This record gives sequence, C-alpha cells and structure tokens, in this order.
Amino acid sequence: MKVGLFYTCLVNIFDPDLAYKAKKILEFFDYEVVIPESQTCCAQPNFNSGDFDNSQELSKSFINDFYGIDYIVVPSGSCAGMILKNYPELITNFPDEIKEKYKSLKKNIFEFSDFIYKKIGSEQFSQFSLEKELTYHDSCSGLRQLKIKNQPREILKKIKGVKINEMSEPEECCGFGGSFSLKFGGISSEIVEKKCSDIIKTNVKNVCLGDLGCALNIKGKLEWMKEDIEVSHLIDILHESMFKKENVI
Amino acid sequence: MSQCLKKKMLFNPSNFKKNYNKNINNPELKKSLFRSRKIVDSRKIAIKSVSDFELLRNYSSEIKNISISNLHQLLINWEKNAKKNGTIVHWAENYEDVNKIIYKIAKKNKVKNVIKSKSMLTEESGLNDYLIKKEIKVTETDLGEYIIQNSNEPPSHIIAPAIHKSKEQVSELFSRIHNQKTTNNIEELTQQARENIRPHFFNADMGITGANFLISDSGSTVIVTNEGNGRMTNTLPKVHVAVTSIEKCISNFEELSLMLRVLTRSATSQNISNYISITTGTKKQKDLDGPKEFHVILMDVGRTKILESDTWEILKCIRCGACMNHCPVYHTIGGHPYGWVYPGPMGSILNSSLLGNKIAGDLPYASTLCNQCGVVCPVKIPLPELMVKLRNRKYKSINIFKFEKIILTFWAFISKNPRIFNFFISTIRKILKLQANKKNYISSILGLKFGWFIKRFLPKPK
Repeated sequence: MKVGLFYTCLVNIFDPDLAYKAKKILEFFDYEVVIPESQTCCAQPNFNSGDFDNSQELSKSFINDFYGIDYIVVPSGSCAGMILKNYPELITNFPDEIKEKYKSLKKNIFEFSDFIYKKIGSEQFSQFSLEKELTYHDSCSGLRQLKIKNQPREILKKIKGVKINEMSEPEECCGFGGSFSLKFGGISSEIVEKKCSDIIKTNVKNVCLGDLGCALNIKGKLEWMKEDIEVSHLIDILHESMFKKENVI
Repeated sequence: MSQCLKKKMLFNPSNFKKNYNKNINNPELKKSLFRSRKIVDSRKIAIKSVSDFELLRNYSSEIKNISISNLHQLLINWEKNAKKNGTIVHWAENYEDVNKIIYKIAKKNKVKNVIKSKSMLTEESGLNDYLIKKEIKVTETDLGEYIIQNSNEPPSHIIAPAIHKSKEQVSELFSRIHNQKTTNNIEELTQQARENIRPHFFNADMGITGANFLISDSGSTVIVTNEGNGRMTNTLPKVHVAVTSIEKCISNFEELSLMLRVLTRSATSQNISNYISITTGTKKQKDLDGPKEFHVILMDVGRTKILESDTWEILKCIRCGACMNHCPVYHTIGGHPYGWVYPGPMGSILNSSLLGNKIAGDLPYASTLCNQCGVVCPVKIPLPELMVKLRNRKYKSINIFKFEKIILTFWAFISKNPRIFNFFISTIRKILKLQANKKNYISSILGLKFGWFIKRFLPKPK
C-alpha cells in the first residue's frame, strides 16, 4: 500500500528530519511512502486570515498533488483538520471532477497518530522500549476538529518504559493560533506561559505533542523561562523507540 | 475630561490593542481572571447531572434554528398574545428609538426613579446616560451591575459584569460610597449593597429589565436571575419595561424548559437558577402584585441584517457566557478590551456584526481558533467558523497594500509555484539559522522584535 506524506510547511522550515522519521516509521510497517514534490501549503494561513480566494486555489493544488495515493498521512492536527473539515466549503464551486477527487481522497486522509492507531495498531508498539516519562499536550485542532485524544496515548503506553504523567489541563490551548501568535504576540505569550507552568508542575522533562506549531510555541517559551524541558513530536518518540539499537528487544 | 467621556474613549473596540496591553500588565486583574477559571470545572460537574448533555445541546440548537427561521411568524403571534394580556408592545429599529420610547413612557408616568435588572440591550443603547441627562435617577440593582455603575465602568462579562474586580477593590469602593469601614468579608459587602439598594426598590416608579426569552404561545417574557432583584424590579414599581431583541423568541413553555436546562448549567453551573420570572401582562384583579403598566420594547438594531448574512448563527446565542468562560484570550485580557457590551468569542462576533469592520473588525482576529468555545456553546454556534467568516469580510475590505495582505498574497503565490516555494523555504531556514545564538534560540529576526518575541524565543530550525 502507498502512503503519501504531506509533511507540512512548518516541518519543512523547522524540522525536516521529522518527515524522514515519519517515512522510516511507515516503511517499517511495510508501507511504500511517496512524497509528492509539488506539495506546498494546505492553505491554512490564508484561510484563517480570511483570504478565501487564495485558499480555494491552494486546496485545488493539494487535491491534485495527492489524488490517487492509497492513504495520505499528515503529521499535524491543524493541517489535517484544515483539509478534512474546511476544504468541503472551499471547493463547493469547483467543477465536479475536483469534487469527486476530493471525495475519494477524503476517506483516506489521516492525522499521523490516527493512522498509526487505526491502520497499524497500537499493539505493534509493544515490541519497542524507551525509558521516558512524558506529559502529553493535546493540540486544539487535532483534539476538537478530529477527535485525536486517545490515539497517541494508547500508542505511547504500549512502548515499554514510556510513562505518561498528565498535566492539569492538557486540553487547554497553548496560545499559538498561527498568525495570532504574531498579530497578538502579547496575549499569545501569556497563554503559553500558563501552559508551560502546567507542564513544569508535572516535574516531567519531556512534553510530547502532535503539532509543530504548538511545539515551537511551547519550546520557545520554555527556553525563555530557562526551563530545561524537551519538546518532542510523537514521531520523535516513536522513532527513538524503534530505531535506537538498544531499544529493540 | 468627564469620567463618562473617558470611559467612552477607552471603551471602544477600535482601541483593542491599546486596551489589552494595559490589561495584560495588570497583576490585580490577572488574579481576578485566574479565580474566575473555576467555573470551567464547576460546569463539568453541572453537565453531568443530566444523563446526556450532548443530546440536550442538539435539541436546544435545533429549537433555536427553527425559531430563528420562523421568527417572523413567532413574533407576530407573540405580539397578538401579549396584547391580549394588556402588554403594550413597541418595536424599535435603532438605539435612539429605544431610549426615546422609554423616556416617553417615563414622562407620561412622571417617573423620577428607575431601577434596573438584567438588561444588556439598554447597555447597548446607552440608556443610563440618556436618562440621567433627562434628570431621571437610574439605579442598577444586580450586585455586579451595582458595583460597576458606582465605579463608572462598563461590564466585563455578560453575566458577571464585575468579575474583573477583587473583593478588596469592591471593599474600597463600598467604603467610599456607603461611608463604612472597609471589609474583605464578601457576605458583609453583599449585605451593605443589599441595605443600600433596598430603599431604591420602594422609591422606584419604573422598573426596567431585559428578557432572556419571549414565549410566543403566551405572549410572556422570561428572565433568569439569582439575586431576587429581578423579580422585585418587575413587580414593585407601577411601570415595568422589558427591553429585548427580536431573536429571543421561542414557541412555547416546553421549549423553554429545555432551554433553561442548558442555559443555567452552561452559565453558572447550576441545575436551575434561583429565580425564573415569567411575566405575562399586567397585574390582574386577583394578583397580589405586579405592575399597572407593562411595556415590552422589541429591538431590531441590526438583527435583521445579521439574519440575512452568513453570520446569522450568532443570533442563536442565549447569553450564557460559557464561550468567554472557556476562552484563553478572554482569560488573559478580561472583557473590557473588547470595547463594547459583549466580550469574548460571542462578543467578537456580535460586536463586529453589529458595529461593522471599521470599528470592530480586529476582534474576530483575537482568537487562536482553539474552539474551546464552540464545544461548550449550549446552542452549538460554530463560533470559530463565524470568526473566520468575519475575518474574510474584513480581509476583502482592506487595501491591497496593507502589510498583512501583501504577506498572504505572496505566500499564496509561492505556494502555487513549488520550485519558488522550496527555494523560499530553504532561504528562510538559512536566515533563521543565522539569527540563532549559541544556545540555539532566536530572539529577533534581522533585528526586528515583532509580536512573537514578547517574552518568548523561537527555536532554531534543526
């Protein structure tokens, strides 16, 4: 089976390794990973700022880039949410051909942890081990648009040695909000301070999450607060448990 | 400068940025807002007292959908039934109408003292200032409203208007206006307010309330309160005026009973509020109390315009305040920066829909779109979606040379050209890497410290 990886622009800028790690994980479970070179942006920055015209065109590009691949995996709840929940309204005036393409595409688009959970199965991860205590932050779009809540936790719990220590309000927004964090930086920075203090209270040295936007925000604030806490994407943790030689049983 | 004028200048949605910056750096406010977060947990407990709150949300959402699509007929029917019970019905198209109608009623009845309870719409129309200018004394009788009226402030929350104030601040205010010693005992403070408000009830010749619901089948108005002052306001004075807006109308008491179940749980985490006051016409012969004259003013003021627009769903709002109680932005800045009667997510949408882009167009952008509001809204208003629609309205209206529009147009352009896109991304990576310090974080880009860098760094690209 072929899996198309939509690695997202934040991964492209800040952590391209994450895309390779995702590829390696999927290949381990016998998927053929394809990475369309023409992929760019899901249109979220334009859409959330109210630029619907350009968003429409970008949604069309995405559909054309990924049409025909068995599954599409997105390592970000907000990009996956954009494609699954906001595209339908954007494409209403498109020719039937595009709409049909989207319809067949939509069934096979998954946020990363959702794909692992539903198609590979969390059970598979009981063969790996990693000594790590972490706390999990639920990213807003993943949680509230796509109902990603148990999937990453179930997968993490299966890895021997991984312990999840929940923070007091894991579902609270971190204050990122894309352009919100630039436009209303002062508010955004205050919101993430609350999130970071919840994280610090757990005494855990690793925060795990599924969206790079939240990761940059939380990491940037923790650094400013001089806190030595690691921020990892779920992919980082899974990759570490799978491919560090000593971690394979 | 008079205090009133000062209040008005600060209280303006177009000053949003200026106003929130002041609030972020206010430690006293921070403490008050932090305390108010308790409501999030108490709501969680309250909604568990029904077997399926989600089902109730679905029902109440449908009730409001149907009521709003059938509003014309419901209102005609309501008016017919209200008149049968001796209610005098007025229709007001704008704020001036509302204030003038009330003044006319007051003049006819030689009113000197007005008491008020639960009316956000007269807050919209600026009634208090209007009546005071006409030398009519106005006293707010809700504890929260009483506090802010006496400190000459606008409300900062739709159901807890003085939530931004600490008990110490209230104590200081009360000691000044009541001529008593300061005390931090909340019960004592409440007692003081009670003793000082009580004489106003007996002196008042007009009571003004709002209405949470209009019941079409009976021609009634309904208010939901906790302090008991609402009931006194609508029964003690000889004239009662209820001011409400047209979208509050539902069909019957069956619908009301369901709406109340979601409203009080969402608003104050109560299974039912202390008082539900239903007013159906004037005092009848056998009635023990009630007003001799009962007026209802039905306000449009932009509602029909919203009804025809793509943000019509905001008219479903039943004013519970759950959206602001769950909003990380509201929790950080409080209600005043929103600059008008309604704060938080519903306020961003309603203020911007009613006042237009030029004045309130920034408000819908003041959200992370986290949707914590949308999932608690008891009538399932898709609040983040409406905010994005209003952003679209604003985006279309702004000049092509505005910085934000240039950036987004550029981003869209390169996103349509993968080669340029990849070149741009790798350039950005290089620039960002050069900006990082030895500890691998970035504290400004090309010397610019924009919004992101307020008390926060940016991690270096890996």
